[in-house]
Amino acid sequence: MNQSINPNKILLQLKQYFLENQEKEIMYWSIMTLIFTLMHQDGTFLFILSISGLIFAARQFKAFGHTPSGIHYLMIPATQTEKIITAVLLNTVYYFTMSVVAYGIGNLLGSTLFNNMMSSQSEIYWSLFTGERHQIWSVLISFVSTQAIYMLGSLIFTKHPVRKTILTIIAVTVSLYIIEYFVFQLVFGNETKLTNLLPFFSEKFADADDSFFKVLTPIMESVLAVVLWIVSYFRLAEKEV
Amino acid sequence: MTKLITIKDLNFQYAKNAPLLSNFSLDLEAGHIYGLLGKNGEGKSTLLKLISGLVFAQGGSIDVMGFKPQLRHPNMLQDIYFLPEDLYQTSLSIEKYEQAYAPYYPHFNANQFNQLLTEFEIDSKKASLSKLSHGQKKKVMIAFGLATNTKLLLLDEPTNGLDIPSKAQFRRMVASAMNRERCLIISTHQVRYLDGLIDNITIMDHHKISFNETVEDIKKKLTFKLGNRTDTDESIIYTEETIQGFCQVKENLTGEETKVDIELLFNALMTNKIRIQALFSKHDN
Repeated sequence: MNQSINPNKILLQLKQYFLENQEKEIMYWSIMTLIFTLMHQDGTFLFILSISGLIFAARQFKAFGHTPSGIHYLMIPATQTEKIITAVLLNTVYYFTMSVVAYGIGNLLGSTLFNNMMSSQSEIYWSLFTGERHQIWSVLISFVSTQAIYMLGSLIFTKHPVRKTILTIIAVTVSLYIIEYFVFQLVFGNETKLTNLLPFFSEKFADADDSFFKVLTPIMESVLAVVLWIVSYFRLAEKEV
Repeated sequence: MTKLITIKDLNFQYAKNAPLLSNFSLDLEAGHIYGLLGKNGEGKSTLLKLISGLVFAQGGSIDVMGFKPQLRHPNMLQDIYFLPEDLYQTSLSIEKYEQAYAPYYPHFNANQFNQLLTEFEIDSKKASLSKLSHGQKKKVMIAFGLATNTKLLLLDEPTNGLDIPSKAQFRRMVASAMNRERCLIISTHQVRYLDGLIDNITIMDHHKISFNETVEDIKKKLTFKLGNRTDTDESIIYTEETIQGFCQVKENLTGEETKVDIELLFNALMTNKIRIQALFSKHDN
């Protein structure tokens, strides 16, 4: 099996994407900039990024929802690896960069307009780049792992991938919650409180050193993203239309 | 001639206990235009998908230009152009479509593409594909497929949606794009439009190849003529009443060459398969 990586094939696929979606992309990022302009200083970047990003990633392989489009996609002379790398570049690097640019422009425009209209001298608040909770690096890692989940979802569910991926995540989370509850009941007995149990974040874990989780979480998220990309690769390789 | 496709004892099914192709074998060579015929649901489109690696066989083997199609090797894909019956929807203009997809095909010929578009009376490459009629879009895709100069061209119902003049243009264009290195497989129900184009007739029946012969051999072994209702000649294999009279498929005992009527041959095979197969296997031996 030839799964070599030819950068030209990746560039060709990117060119093909932008040629096909040029107008949609311009329109989309204009709307996103407008939203960030209106919602500046609200710290809503994470919320907007998560919702819009999941829709983008979950529609990455929408071609498989329509047989002729699926045929067209699979017949593109590029390796599975090149196709997955292109998808990852689009739904993580490109999407995140564009979101940050839209946020930057929107925040700047919104704050300037607000100051002019109210004749105030408020400072521009860059919630993404400042503050402990909104460190851009940790946001990026979380975003990459989330996008990897939705990209896999779009490969598994050919019809209504957004809805089905979200429902699957809810189902998996609830299942983990229930399993964890019973495991804790067995180990710690009846003193386990149902409300205190969330998958992987129970009171027993919460007692642990906070810095440990600060280091562990991005590592876990990065590993998760890589694992999901590999799973996506195999899913794409076995895809039939 | 170079063998491009070798299919051996292939088994394929979409649903359990409903085999679509079983112990299916077929060899296809370069330099031929194959007409793949069969009733609905025989597996013609599936066969094209199996050759392209779009679906995977459950048993047997397929070799396409030295590749296993299910691996979708890019070197194989750049030498196959598959035009499905329903087309891919895109809002790109013809010009941008060419910019986006032509670079994937190393033998793509832009001049040939332009010539083919002109022949199909597609005047402007600025036109958006989403705004073209189904027939026009099909013409663009056929022209693109021919201009890719891939070794293998798979066309599923290519003349569906084409108007009558375009069907004649299609025949001309396909014939002009053929060479000794290329193999075309045309799966269709509209057999009349293949007259004079295909040089090999492959008929699928009951999920198997029941007939696979060159037009040259068919001419040597069968005649297609008008006759009378009262004809009782033993060489008559099949008779069909038409407006012109009684069309007959007969064993060619005189060596006379007649034009192959593909539709008549198909109907003859459906009603008298054993005799036709025996006739061809007898002569082969």
